[in-house]
Amino acid sequence: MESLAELKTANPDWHVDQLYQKIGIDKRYVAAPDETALTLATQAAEKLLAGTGRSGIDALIYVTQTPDSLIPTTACLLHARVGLPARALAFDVNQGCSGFVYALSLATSLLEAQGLDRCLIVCAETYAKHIAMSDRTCRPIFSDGAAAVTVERAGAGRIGPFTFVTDGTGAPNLTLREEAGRPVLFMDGPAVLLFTMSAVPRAVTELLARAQLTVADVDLFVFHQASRVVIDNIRRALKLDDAKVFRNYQELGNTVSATIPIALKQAEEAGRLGPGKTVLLVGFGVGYSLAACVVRT
Amino acid sequence: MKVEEIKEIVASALEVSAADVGDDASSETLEAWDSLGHISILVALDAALDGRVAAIDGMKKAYSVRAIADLLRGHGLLD
Repeated sequence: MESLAELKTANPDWHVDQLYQKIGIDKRYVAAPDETALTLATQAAEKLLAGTGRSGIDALIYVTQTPDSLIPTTACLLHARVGLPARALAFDVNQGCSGFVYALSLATSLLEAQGLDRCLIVCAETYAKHIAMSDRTCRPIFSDGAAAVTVERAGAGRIGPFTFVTDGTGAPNLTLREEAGRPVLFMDGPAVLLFTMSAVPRAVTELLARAQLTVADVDLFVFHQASRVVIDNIRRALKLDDAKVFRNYQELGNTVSATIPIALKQAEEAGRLGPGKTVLLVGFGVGYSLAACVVRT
Repeated sequence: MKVEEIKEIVASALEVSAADVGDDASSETLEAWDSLGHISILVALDAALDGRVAAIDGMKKAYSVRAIADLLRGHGLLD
């Protein structure tokens, strides 16, 4: 865990009060030097499977942009670590903030098209390994973390429709750059903010129309937990009641692809999610990439 | 919107005195106009112009009152 107070100690010239006012993040998680995304992914998957069991898991989708291995795909390593059945297909998805919704789309397609029963989605990131303590743009925002979810054919809920946006012209604005022989995360904050301000309200409006829903029909909006300024602006642009907008960035930071599944779990624990709810999920950022969907619980 | 309103928004977003934000104000003249300050300006402008600022190409690099005014004028948003 790393707090803004610790960042102030390391960077005495930072105005952390102003920073907090904008980003709304006080504490974040930073993986230990001997921890990797795969370590976190394994812990999240084992915690989930201890409760649900491994039976019937036909697929593993591992979402990460900080993979432990490129060859073979890290999903195979995760598959082995958590002891999934040999018949389970496994692959990586290299998407960041939109990654969980991408994985949901793939999982629901696999369940329908391949007749699978259960798909395990694991999202894990260790962006902080690529961010210096002195980086005022990225360090106070990004957090290391992981989340695991199973998507099952059984049950009354429904996932979809989905909508996607890709704009690769924004790639240089949030990327890894080589500096002194090391990969370092770079983010052009204003540019990424402008993308979210223009793309997210448009995508939400389009998705609601496709789903034949209005804002009033949605019980909870779960946006990627980018930061306070980002979510405040989306809420303003869409004229959403703040009570319908889930927020948990203050004590967790931005865990990239893991923010939405962590938020769903916390929303359930807080009594804000349960059977019969209509939820809208929107992941957006690095790419630029955006994915959104409706979930009926 | 008028140039005077842009200056008021910049001053408010950066939490500086309106007297410090002249026609030539920019990230060179105002210490608070860094990338975080620019985010505050963009957010305030977008709110004032009903969400029409976010899609303006070039706004991310508009680190001066003059550059903002030129972009808004080019999009018919400046009187």
